This record gives sequence, structure tokens and C-alpha cells, in this order.
Amino acid sequence: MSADVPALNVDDLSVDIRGVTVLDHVSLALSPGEALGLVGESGCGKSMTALAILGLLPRGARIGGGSVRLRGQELLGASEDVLCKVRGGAIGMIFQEPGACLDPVMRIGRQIGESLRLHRGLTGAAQDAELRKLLLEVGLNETDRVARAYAHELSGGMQQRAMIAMALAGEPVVLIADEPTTALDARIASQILDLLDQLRRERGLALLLISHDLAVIGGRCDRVIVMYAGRAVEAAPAAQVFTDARHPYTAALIAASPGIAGVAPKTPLRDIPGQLPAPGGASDGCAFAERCTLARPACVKRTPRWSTLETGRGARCLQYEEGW
Amino acid sequence: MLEVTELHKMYRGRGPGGAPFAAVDRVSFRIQAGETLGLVGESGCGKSTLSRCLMRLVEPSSGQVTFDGVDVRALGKRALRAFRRRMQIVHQDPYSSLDPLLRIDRVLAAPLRHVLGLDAAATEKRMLSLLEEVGLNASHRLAYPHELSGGQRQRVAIARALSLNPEFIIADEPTSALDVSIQAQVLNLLLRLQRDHGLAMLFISHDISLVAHMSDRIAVMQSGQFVESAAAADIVERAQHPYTRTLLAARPHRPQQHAKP
Amino acid sequence: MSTPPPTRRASLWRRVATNAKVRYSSLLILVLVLLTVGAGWVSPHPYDQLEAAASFAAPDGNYLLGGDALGRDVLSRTLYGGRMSLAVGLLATLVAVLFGVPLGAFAGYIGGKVDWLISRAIDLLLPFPVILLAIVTKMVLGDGLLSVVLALSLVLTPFFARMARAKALSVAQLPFIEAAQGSGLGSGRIMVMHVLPHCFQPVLIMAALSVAFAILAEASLSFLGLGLPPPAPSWGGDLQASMSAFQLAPWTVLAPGFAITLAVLAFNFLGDGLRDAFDIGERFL
Repeated sequence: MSADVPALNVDDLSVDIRGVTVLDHVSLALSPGEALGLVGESGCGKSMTALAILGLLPRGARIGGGSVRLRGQELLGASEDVLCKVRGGAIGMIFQEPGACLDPVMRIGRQIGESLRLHRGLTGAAQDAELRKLLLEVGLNETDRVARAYAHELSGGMQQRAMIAMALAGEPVVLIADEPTTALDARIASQILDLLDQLRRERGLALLLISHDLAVIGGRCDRVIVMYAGRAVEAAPAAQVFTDARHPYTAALIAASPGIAGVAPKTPLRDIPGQLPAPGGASDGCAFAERCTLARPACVKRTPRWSTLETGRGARCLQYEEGW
Repeated sequence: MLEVTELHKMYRGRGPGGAPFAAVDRVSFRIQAGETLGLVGESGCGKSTLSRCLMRLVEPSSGQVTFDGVDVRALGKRALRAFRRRMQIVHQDPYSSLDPLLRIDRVLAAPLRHVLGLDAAATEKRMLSLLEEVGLNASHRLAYPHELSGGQRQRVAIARALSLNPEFIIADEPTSALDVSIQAQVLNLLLRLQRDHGLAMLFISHDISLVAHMSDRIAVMQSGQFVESAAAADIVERAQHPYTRTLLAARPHRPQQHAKP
Repeated sequence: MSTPPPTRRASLWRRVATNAKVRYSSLLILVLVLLTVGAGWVSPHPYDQLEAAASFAAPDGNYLLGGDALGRDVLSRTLYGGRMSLAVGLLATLVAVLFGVPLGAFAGYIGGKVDWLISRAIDLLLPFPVILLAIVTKMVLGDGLLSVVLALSLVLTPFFARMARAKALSVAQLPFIEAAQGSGLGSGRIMVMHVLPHCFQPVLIMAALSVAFAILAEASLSFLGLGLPPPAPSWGGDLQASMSAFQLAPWTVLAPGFAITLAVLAFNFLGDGLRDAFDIGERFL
């Protein structure tokens, strides 16, 4: 598999829940060894994107269109059998609250062992050996103690490492991490992100990192996609998104984040007036228009389309379209 | 204005054979009017316990807390209740810092009527001016907490804290549960109110970037102790203590900034 | 990042009002109450009118549900008997709520020695079987409504107190209580403004279920002769008096038995429906 065949391709994915659009023509592409960050605030649809990729949408949710291809294989509409093999197998996923995602009454070793058995058919001594290897790989060096422990006996950071081990057990090609460090202290969070980086390089994983924290994404990812109200509004290499944001929302988000705004202490941040939109709130026109400093009357009526600005950069804003 | 000397809080250890431990271990500091002391530390370091000890919502084991010359620990129950008006807390969780069964106007009116003793007309007037000051409009007072967003609830909590004309505000992770764009609104609000009212503030957070942004001075807390305490700029650029350095190094950073102090 | 907001208040009451169990049981209870309270108008005969000829008479046009051992109209006796049962059930529950809930909430909120004292008092009262208490109250207060109500209240109060205490304990941890204390509001006001309203939902459910329990308990007490003495009509008393005649005149047993069952079921379903609507998972009784 050559390095420039995307591991994961999402094209024009749309999802609606009981008639309310929660994802609107979202596209992304992940190559092996690459880290893509998906960033946005509550209700922007970033978690929903991950769930749609895995076919784990909540009840009442419907795929409105688009395609999700894993190494060329279409996942939307695939049978439950195929999807079950993919989940935890070719696509691994880790979540925000590792404590809540680990079975409280099963020892860690058994849980990871389950995954090894399911996805790689390993049992007995072979399973044990591989389990040991995985635990060491994620930095849980006391392999015996951890394997015998229950979830609540481990710290938050260790629980997250165990979850990563479980995800790795299926030999994934793609790893989706949904807010993996939000519930952790800064130091532990930093270690976990370092671990993900390391695994990405050593295993050639494609990493989809989802977070509300632009600073986390910017620091750890090669490329960034910013989402707002169910739509992707900007895509850019991480290095450029901070210095040269092309979408007003991205710029506003940067200016509003104390860590990266570059403002002197105790001076007001540039805040974004108004509220976050309710899901499906804006179907026509630009969802950000009512809070945007560059907005013009046309913004409320015309829905902006995706404009490709350079290779690898794009934004969804009327200012880049004709007739602005 | 606020002077804390050797504040100490012991708790019994958890589980069988658990040794007693100090949640707050002989901490001393000072805050002047108009000044913000930022308190940063990871979860479990004792920063919340410290803030509760200041207001005697939790009784300290030993040490002295002097506010505007008054020895807070020596106050009797009634005097303490009257004194509490001068120090207010804004909590982290906007979802449980307001009683879900009470309408906003009742929440705001309670301290006005029962602590300040205002009559109905004066209460209404003050409530409306408080709402305006925190950027909410009058119709919000008829809402229940669940009808408001997280940012709006936090504003109500701030309005409630302000209603008693305090001189000192403790902001305990006031924006941790809010989205970035809303967080900026609330932080700007706190800064503005501090300027307008000359408030002293203790700003508590686990996020050192946030603390650095909001504070004049920073105290770094670990296991109940202040491991380092200095002016904000000094902490960020010339941190001495290794723990402070690791906290600074753990900040998520922009891609081109690789060297961290 | 942000957690979803809790349920809307208006829709909560709508859920209660549209819940099938709540609707049907409320209707049934209303009918029962109207029939028994209005027994004076509805009942075809007075409950103590004896007619030797009608002894164990089968149901006919005159005595719709037949006659009992002493020739009294079973229907009328059942209607009048309902007064006693419902009155005892509602009164005992009311007393238990009025005493138990504030006591328990106070204990839970204040904590410390006061809590310890009240909890021990509750613990002391809990193990007493209702029959034993009924005998004691009967000895002390003599026959009559008061002794039965008192006995049942003593049985029920600890349950309400314990539940209110648990609820107060959980509410006392929440930040808005701390904020209220920080504002300088006194304990009394915090209890009235914050703690007691949070007890409302579980208390309501428990109250419905305890009326059911009290009705059944009263019937049992009357059955054992510890309730109102004859000729006062009561479901349990009539049941007891007619037990031996079951083969001969089953209606004398079925009528009061059925009435007890109906009333208990109605209140149980009400409590169940309320619990569904309020979405509370725990069981209290």
C-alpha cells in the first residue's frame, strides 16, 4: 500500500436526525501516518462525524448522502457483519472518558484479550504474549499488575493507555481519538498525546484527532479541519491555520483562546458575541453569519460552498466566491 | 485586603489504615483590592479545598485568615453569615450551581431579600441592573436554569455573586465547562467587573495558560502546598520550580513554538 | 463539552398527566372517594339496618350484593366501610409525611449529632411490626379511628424520614446549596427554598404507595379485630366476620375483598405511574 493512497476517505457526508441536519457535506481524507485534527465547539458535528464513519449513529439518525471509504472499501450501507469487523479492527476508536468505556467488572487483561480474540483469533499463550507486548507498547510497564487490575484501580491516564492498547489490539489502520485528553490533567494529557504521536510514527497509523481545543489540535496534527454547525468551514495545514486563518470563525476562535491568542495578560480576549447555533439551526445561508464581523446581507441568504484556496487549503465562506 | 497565614486543613485518610493527610498544607498568601491571584494545580492538589476554607464553608484545621483586618476564623455563626457577603464564589459547573427547580428571579432575589433585607421594589430594581451588568436581558429572569445555555447560567451565577456587593470573588474553574467562544465572553466579563468594582479575585484553574492570562500573580499548588508563587510574567518566562516547568511544558502549543521555558 | 440540559419542567407534568397508569388509577381513586364519601347518598340502605329475613340473602334487586350474616346490605356496608379504609389510609400517610419528611430532611441537611440522634430514633421505630404497634395504641387510646391512624403513622413515618434524609444528603452536596450558604442565607431558609422542594417528587411517589400499604394494613388490623369495633363497617372487619360463611354466601367475602384489592391496586398504580413519569429508578417501600 503506497503512502499516498488514503487510508480513509470521507466525501460529502451528510447526516440528519429526524429531519434536522447535523452534518452537511463533510469531507476529509486521511493518509497513513498522517494526523488530521477535527476541531470545533459543542454541536459542530465532530463527534457525529466519527460515529457516522463507524456506523454507530444514534437511533433516529439517517445518512443523508455521501460516502465513507476505508482503503477503498465503502462503509456506508455495508452489512453489520462488515462493520463489526471494522470497528475495533481496521478502525480503532478511543473516547473521552476511558473509565466509562472500560467494563467495570472485567479485568483489563481480559478486555484487551477479547479484542485480540475477536479481531486476530489469538487465544491462550499467543494471546498472553501479544497482550504483554501491547501493554508495553502503550507504556503500561507493570504488565502483570495492569492485566489483572480492574478499570477503577487504574488512574485516568492509565485507563486511557489501556483503551489505546485495546484499540491497537485489532491492528488498526485508522485510529479515531475523540477528545482523548479532555478529562485528564495537562501533564498526563501531554503524555497521552505524545504516545499517540509515537504510535502513529511507529505503526504508520492514520490518526483522526477530535477536540474542542484548538491548541491541542494545532500542536499535534499535520492538518486541521475546523467545523461549525455541522459543516466543515476551513481546512489547512496546522502550521498555517494559526498564522493565516482564512475563515472568520477560525480567526475568531484563535483570538478567543487564551493560550494562543497572543494577547497580554488581563486584556480582554476578542470574544465572539452570540450563542452557538442549535443543531440544524441554519440550513440556508452561512451558519456563522450572525456572529461574523465580516458578514454582509448576502451571507444570511446564500449558503457558502467549499472554495479550494490552494492545494491542501480550503474554506467555506462567501468572500472567496464570485459576486461577493 | 485578604491575608492568609499558615492555612492548614487535615483530613482523615481514606480506607483502612489510611494516614491523615493535609489537603491544604500551611499555605500563606495575600491579595489586594483590584488584584487577581491565579491558583493553578492539577486535580486533587487542594485548590478547591483552599477556596472553601477561605469562606469557612469547610473549617480549616489551623492557620489564620484575615480579611480587611477582620479575623475570619474568629467570627461566630451569625457574624459569619453577615460577613460572607463580602466574599463570593463562582463555581465551575453551570449546571449544578443553580437549583434546577427555581426560576432565575427567585435565585437572584433570595440574597437580596433575605440577606440585604431589600423590599420587593428595591429587589426588582437591583435584579434588573445586575442582569444588565452581566449581559443578560430582563426576560431571562423568568427562565428556569435548563432553559438557559451554559454561558448564560454562568452569567447568572456571576450576577448572584455580585448581588451582595462583595469585595472579593473566588472564581473556581468558572469556564472549564464552557465552549471556547463562550469562555472568552465570561472571562472578559470577569475582567470588566473587576475593573469596575475594584474586586480582589482568586482565579483557580488547572489550565496554566488561562491562569497566566487572567492573573497578576500566580501561585502553583501541588499536594496542598504552594511550590512557587510569583508575578504572572515571571512564572511564565522564568519558572524556577520543576513542577511549574512541567506544567508549562505540558501546555498544548502552536506548531512553530517548540522551545518552552 | 457541554452536557445536555435536564428535563423541562412543563414536559414533566405533561408526562405525569399523560401517563396511562396515572390517569386510570387517578380516575379509579376519584370514583372510590366519591362513592365512599357520598355513601350517605349513593348507598341504597343504611349500613346497620338489620333484617333477619335477609340473612345471607343472595344478590337480588333489593340487596344488590346480597345480605350478610345479620341481614345487612353488603353493598351499603362496603360503601360505608370504604370511608374508614380510605380515611385511615390518607390520614396515616398525611401524618407520616408531615412529621417524617421535615424531620428526615432536617437530619440529612444539618448532619452531625442532630442527624445521629434522629437516625437512631428512626432505627428504633423501623423494626416494629404494625400489629404490635396497633395493640399498644389500642391499649393506650382505646378503640377508635385515632388509635389505628396513630399505629399506622408510627409505622410509616420512619420510611418517609429515611427517604427525605437520603434526598437531603444528596442535595446538600450540590454547588447551589454551597452558593446559598455562601450568600449568607440561613439553614432554615435553605431547607425551605432548596431542600424540601427536591424531596417533593420522591415523597409523592412514596405517599401513593404508602396509602396502598395503609389501606391493606388497616384491613388486616380490622380483620384481626384491632380496628374499629362493630357495628362500624370496615372492609377488614366485614371480611373477618364473613370468612366462615364463604361457602354459603361468597358475596359477603368477595365484596369487601374486592374493594380492598381495588383500592390498593389503584394507589399502587398511581405510585408506579408517578415513578415512571418522574423517571426515578429507586424503590422506597
